[in-house]
Amino acid sequence: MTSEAADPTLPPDVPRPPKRYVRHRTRLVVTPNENQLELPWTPASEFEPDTLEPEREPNALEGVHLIEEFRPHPTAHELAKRAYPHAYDPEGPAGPALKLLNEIQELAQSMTEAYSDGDMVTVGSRLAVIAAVLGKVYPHTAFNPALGSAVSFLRRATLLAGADQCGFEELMGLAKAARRLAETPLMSLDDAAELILQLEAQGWVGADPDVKQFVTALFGEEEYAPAPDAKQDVKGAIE
Amino acid sequence: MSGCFLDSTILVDFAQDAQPRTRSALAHTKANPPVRIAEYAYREFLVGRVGLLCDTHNALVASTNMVEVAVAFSVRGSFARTPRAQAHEILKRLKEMFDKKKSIEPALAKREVQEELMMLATKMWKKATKFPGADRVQPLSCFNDGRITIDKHGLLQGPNNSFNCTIGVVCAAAQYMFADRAGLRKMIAALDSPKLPNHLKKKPETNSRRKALDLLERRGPTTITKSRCRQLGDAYFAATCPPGHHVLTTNLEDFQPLCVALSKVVRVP
Repeated sequence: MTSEAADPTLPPDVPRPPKRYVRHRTRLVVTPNENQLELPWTPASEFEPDTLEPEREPNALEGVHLIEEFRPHPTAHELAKRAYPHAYDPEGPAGPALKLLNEIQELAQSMTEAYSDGDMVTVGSRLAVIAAVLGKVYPHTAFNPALGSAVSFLRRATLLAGADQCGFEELMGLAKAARRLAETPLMSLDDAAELILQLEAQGWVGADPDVKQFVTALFGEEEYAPAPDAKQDVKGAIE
Repeated sequence: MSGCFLDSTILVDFAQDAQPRTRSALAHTKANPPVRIAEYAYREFLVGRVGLLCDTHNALVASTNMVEVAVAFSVRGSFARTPRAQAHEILKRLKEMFDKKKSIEPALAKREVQEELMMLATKMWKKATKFPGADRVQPLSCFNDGRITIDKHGLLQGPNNSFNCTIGVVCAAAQYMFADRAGLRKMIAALDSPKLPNHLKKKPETNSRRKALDLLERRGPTTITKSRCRQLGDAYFAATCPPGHHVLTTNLEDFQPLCVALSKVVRVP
């Protein structure tokens, strides 16, 4: 005979369930406000009734405490932080680069806001500041050559782009790239190449003109030029 | 209207964004679907230009001055056939590039050049796989496909640590071609023909291709080594162009006799 009293809320023929169990839910929830996807770490109390999940049928366990705990999917950034804590340590070798990359991220964000307000003067000055800070970041990126080459590309691209040549999409692409650099300082070569290809597709021109000429000679070709619809030739702008 | 079977020249132009050829090729493929790219084209691209860029990068990483770079270039397989004048031009450009960068930021000059070469190789390889609307066909069991990576010494490594084919596997491209031995004989006859223009007869590529085809026809695919596989080159595309497709190339001259012998169509974008 057990020492605990029988639970009056349960039918007599059902074996006693554990008093408490936790179910991890990791789904996204659609809020009624314009069908916006809300990230799952919002406190549970703030959720509207869940429209994705059908209502549970009442069963024998009805009335038992059911604690639903929300455990969000960790982002790639969070996972990387857990796996490689040294790479995100402000006192570690990547510390100075991370600090400056975060600064660039904030500058890029404020630049898109300035564009939304029609403040093109601020956009132009922000581009120049971003290029300067990227120049300061570069010496600190020796721990990852892939990050270094992405930083170099962005530096040349922001240095040569005029505010009047940039649309909202281009600036948004730049802000996104800046965020990715800050969040993934250990990015792979493949990821860095993908990032640069995306920026080039948006119209940013940041290939090194000297290396381009060298490669032309290496391949024994007469031409190795970017698309004529690209904004401007880097070399021409420097000269 | 027939589909397009791209040879490696089109793929290389697209990966390097060589204009206006890429624009013409894209317009042509858009107007002539479906578009197919044989894995052999990727293999040629990886062994050729991508491998050359990575070799250059690795030689620069290992060298401490220009003399060492020149020596490293001269002994490497990728540069062995480079004409002397071009080799001079390469080293001249390299020196100019370093001098210019050193005058601005001496400490970082070498690193920036290396990283740019590294990124260029990776970008080209990634972009080649993204030809709009193209399907990759004729898989090769010997081909090392995958990503370019940086090893622990900062050197660029090809997929499976190689830019070449898997060791100990019979050449898959030769096996595709050997399936049509009559076609092989026709291509050999076309390259032997007295009708072949003189400048093509004298071309070293034509001679080496004819020898490789002859060897394949007589002894079978097991005799085709990695270098012989590269010599097959244009003959592979002419032989394996699927029915209802035409070979699309920028190198019409070399393809014409091979495609005519096999009653296939070759076009330039």
